[in-house]
Amino acid sequence: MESLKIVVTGAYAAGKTQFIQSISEIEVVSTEAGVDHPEEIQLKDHTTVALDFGKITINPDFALHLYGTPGQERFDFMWEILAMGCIGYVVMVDSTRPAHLREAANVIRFFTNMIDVPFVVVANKQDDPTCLPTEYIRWRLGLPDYIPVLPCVATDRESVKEVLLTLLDIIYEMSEAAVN
Amino acid sequence: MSLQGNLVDLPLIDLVQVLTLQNKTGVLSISRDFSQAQVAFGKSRIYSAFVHHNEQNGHPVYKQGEDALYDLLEWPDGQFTFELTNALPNVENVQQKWDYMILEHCRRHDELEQKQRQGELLSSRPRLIPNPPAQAEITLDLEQWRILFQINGLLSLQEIATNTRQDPEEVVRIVGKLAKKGLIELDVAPLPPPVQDYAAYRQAQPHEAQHYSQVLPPRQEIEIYSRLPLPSQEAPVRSSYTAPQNTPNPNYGPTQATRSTAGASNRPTLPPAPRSYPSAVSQDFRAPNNRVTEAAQAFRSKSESAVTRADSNAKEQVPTSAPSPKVQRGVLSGIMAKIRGL
Repeated sequence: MESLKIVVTGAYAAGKTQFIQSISEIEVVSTEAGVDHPEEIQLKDHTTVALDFGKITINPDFALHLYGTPGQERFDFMWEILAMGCIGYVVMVDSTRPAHLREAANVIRFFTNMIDVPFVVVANKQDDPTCLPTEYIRWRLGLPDYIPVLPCVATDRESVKEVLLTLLDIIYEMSEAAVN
Repeated sequence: MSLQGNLVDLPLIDLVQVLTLQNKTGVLSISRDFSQAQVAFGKSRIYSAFVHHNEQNGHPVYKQGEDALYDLLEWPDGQFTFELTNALPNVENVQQKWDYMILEHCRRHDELEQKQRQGELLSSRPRLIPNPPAQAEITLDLEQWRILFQINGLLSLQEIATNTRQDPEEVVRIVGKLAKKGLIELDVAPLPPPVQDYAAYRQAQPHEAQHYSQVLPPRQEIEIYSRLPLPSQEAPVRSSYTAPQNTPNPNYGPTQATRSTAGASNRPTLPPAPRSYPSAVSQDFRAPNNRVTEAAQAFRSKSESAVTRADSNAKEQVPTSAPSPKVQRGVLSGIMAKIRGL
């Protein structure tokens, strides 16, 4: 079976695993371990240490694979492995934690230096009353207008679908431009 | 059966994978200089491991179990022999899975490098910069002032930590902030940025870089934009933004509405947004004003011209038979149709 790969990345506790769980048609293959870092444990008690894997079967011969990266920078050797050969990637940002926007900027910098494929930035947890608006997140991350910053609630499948469709639209347009 | 070779040709990680996947039962013996190791395999996993260093500071050193395997993972070379046998050692001293141990080994490496780096930093002697770069405003908190007051080009960070009774890690963190503000300089070479790590990769993938240059900004442009000066006038960050206050967002349907209502009782009530933030906070939370908007427009036009240049270069350089990552449009249409239907 042939497949295409999309990577879901972002800072710690941004909602990457949840994003894949919401859309994957299989039970997400997850490599989670207990959190022992005193700062990290305040956000969640389990974290991805190697990868998350989700799948959407397009037809009997073809599937879209979704790979989630670990959030902590100490696992960044996995980012490189997972990014190889992907057609695009999603950068998850926690809209409710402005202090973590710096980490998100580092992730974007790391990935843009590593691979030249399209990406979208996702402002997750937009259902929280304390969330920051997408335009503010765009400004803080220093993103130009033509990189989409999309509002999202990773627990909501419709919201996740919108994000993936936007990314695929961009890849489609670029593919068309390459053909022409 | 006997398998012989050198770890240079077949690293331990690959060797173990082959032997466990093949469900071999036997003993792997490795020797290097004055060290010997024995790893027993059985039941598709590592059964036991022993390492013996004959000369290390004049005393023999024995390791067993997971410790022996972590030691072995550090060996760059070594002659190995694998013998099939059912006569395994009586001791079963390895409990962890091999995959876990590889990850743990990487983590230890990472931490060791960080500690080495921190050790270098603690022995460095920071100096004040006589003419710091012009900035609209510099805000220091009390801890930063305490550290800055100690910096004279003679005291090391370790000595500063002792004088101020601060945790050395905290001193390193504060000194990093002061250096970022352009107030001090360290005599330690900074870590290379990630771009250097991947320069070789990008050179090896020229098609991708040229293929996608039409929509993605050049990497340096993002760097430059993130270093633009902050606005000189303070502006309240949320003055024009009203939080939803538990109002269901129509874009997210019943799922979101249910969640918001369910969580509302547990959520603390937010204080009203202040008209202006204290200066210490505003450094990080300023909203864009006209100056930034102008800068953004300048950046946009600059990057568009850069993209045009990259585009014309790509047309000249990329052969027509071209780009490898080209995705078939039919496939993409199929994926999008499938996702819409989910």
